[in-house]
Amino acid sequence: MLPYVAKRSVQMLVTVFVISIIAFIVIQLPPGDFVNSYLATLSGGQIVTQDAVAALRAQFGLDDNLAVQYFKWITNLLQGNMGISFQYQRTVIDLLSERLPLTLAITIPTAFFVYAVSIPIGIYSAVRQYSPLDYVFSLVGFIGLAVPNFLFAIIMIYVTSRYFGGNVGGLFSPQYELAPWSIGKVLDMMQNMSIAILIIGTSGTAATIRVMRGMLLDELSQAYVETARAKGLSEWRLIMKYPVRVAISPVLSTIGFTLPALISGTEITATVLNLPTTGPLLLNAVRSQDMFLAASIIFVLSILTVIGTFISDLLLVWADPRIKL
Amino acid sequence: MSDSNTILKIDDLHTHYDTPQGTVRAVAGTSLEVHRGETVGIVGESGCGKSVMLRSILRIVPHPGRIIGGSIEFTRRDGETVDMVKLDPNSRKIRSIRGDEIAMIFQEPMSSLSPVHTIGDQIIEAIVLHKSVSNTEARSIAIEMLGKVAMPRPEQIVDQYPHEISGGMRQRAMIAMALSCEPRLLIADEPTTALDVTTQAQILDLMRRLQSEFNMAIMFVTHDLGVVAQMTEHVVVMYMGQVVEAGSVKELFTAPRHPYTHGLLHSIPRLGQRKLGRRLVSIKGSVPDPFARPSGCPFHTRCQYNDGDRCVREEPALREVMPGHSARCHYAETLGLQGVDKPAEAINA
Repeated sequence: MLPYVAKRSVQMLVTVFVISIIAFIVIQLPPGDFVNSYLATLSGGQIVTQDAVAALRAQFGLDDNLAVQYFKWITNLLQGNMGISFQYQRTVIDLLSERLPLTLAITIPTAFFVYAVSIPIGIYSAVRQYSPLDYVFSLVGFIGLAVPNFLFAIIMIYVTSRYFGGNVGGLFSPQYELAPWSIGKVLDMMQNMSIAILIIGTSGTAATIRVMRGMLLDELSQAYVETARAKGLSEWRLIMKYPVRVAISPVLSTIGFTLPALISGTEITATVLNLPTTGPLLLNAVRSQDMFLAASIIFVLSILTVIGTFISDLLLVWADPRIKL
Repeated sequence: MSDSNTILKIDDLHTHYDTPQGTVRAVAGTSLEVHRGETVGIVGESGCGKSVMLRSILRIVPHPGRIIGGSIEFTRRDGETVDMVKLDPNSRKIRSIRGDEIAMIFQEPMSSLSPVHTIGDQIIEAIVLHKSVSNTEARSIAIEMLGKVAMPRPEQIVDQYPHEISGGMRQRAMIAMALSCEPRLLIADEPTTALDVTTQAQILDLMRRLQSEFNMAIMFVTHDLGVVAQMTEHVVVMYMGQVVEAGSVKELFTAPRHPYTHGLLHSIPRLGQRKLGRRLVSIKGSVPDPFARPSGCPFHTRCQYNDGDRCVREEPALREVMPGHSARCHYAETLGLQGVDKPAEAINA
């Protein structure tokens, strides 16, 4: 096990390095730079001289060639300095340390919600295939898959404010928005969060139900299930011990990309719900070509993906002894 | 014929599959008996209902199959006789019989063991389920059983996964698991079909030896008549869900009474056949579509003795043609079918 972990760690470092280059280049690909888009946002009528533009470029270090810019960025990064967001005029670290904890506070419970709901439903749907409840779950699941999360968010906002007079969106109700942390604020946050989790987790839940159901259906007809039955085990006990154990492997392998998907895949939904997470921050940064911020977020997300994949690989090795290290 | 030695008596069993295309009568009135310590061979082509009949005994017929009639009387260790058909397939009672008093081994040693659990885990589970022993005791029983099935290095194999050992060893592990609770009846569904010939001989040898050691009855399903001749005293021949002939191996091989048995016997290639100018005979046609069961005798479509009248109209009953020998043919007594020599290469334990 240990040599495997060591080997994988080295591979992960290489992967992350390559990703950092790609992330940096991707951000540079659109024509123009931050100064262009910054000028475009200035109200009309203001006259900006060529000298001023050149000064801005020099100030942001945009005159250097790409390799030099990357080198500066990565050496700073290794020292824990992610650069400055042009747009917010704050350090990227500062912005991320504000947003990341809240993002994790939403995405980690969402991940638990997705698996806690979808795995039992998937198991039930497979074991009781074509039962009325299976059809209900399948219908709900397909709707959950087909409706984009942001649309679902808009509908939820409408329904709650129209019929329940409630407030959806943001992590806090207005009265707590600027209040210091208190029990009331935490409770308020949890209430708002549960709706966000429900909305963000829907499509993941629907997809995982389908995967779990399909995989388990394949396993239920396997000969070893019959062996277990002929042994005298009770039906539910044998299903949980044998086919579920085998069928869960592909579900475990999705944990790797669930992590980053929950963090970055929710930009639009998080924007609609006005959640102070990294999603909207990334969306904004890309739009305004705020390169250090965007590259840093992409970089952090990539690291999460790599770590997530590593975790799911370890889980797979644990779940299926046929996988050799 | 039923006596105190009978441990399993199947009477007019019907197991049907309701499918969108129609009902398949997989088992259509099977009757047979198994006595204590006896080996009964069950022979028939693929799809003749052998496997469904066996699964009916344990009540593990896969969906949508269901037993719609008949009885399966099993005599338990304590002398109680239970009708398996009347039990709820998920009841505690039937589960206490499964794996404990009636054990089953399957055709595919590759897929019949869970790939993600160790051999030991799967054997110990069966022991703990039926015997009041601790896990440590169950483990030593498991190792002992693995030793009995001639598994090399049982102390190591017990902690290994199925993919780490060979097919023959997996089948040994299956047998060890099945015998771990010392069942009265072992149901073996083509246990050697998936194995190569050498391994097959070893496994058959092993089963014979263990049978006398445990004094259990075996129902041995196969489509290999050579195996039947080696392994069993009694043979039951099945065709389209029915028993068409039943009797001692010797009787059945030397004087078959049903044209189907006759066809099966003569479709085995024999050494020296060509020199004697005999050709290999095959049964003409193939098994009829299960959705379109022939009228009258189900075998009439392929039978060279079909009279075109009674055989097509009237379904023959299984009747005794000689003491201990029964056949399901209108002309069982008068056809005078030619038998074959019983293969001599019986395996010596």
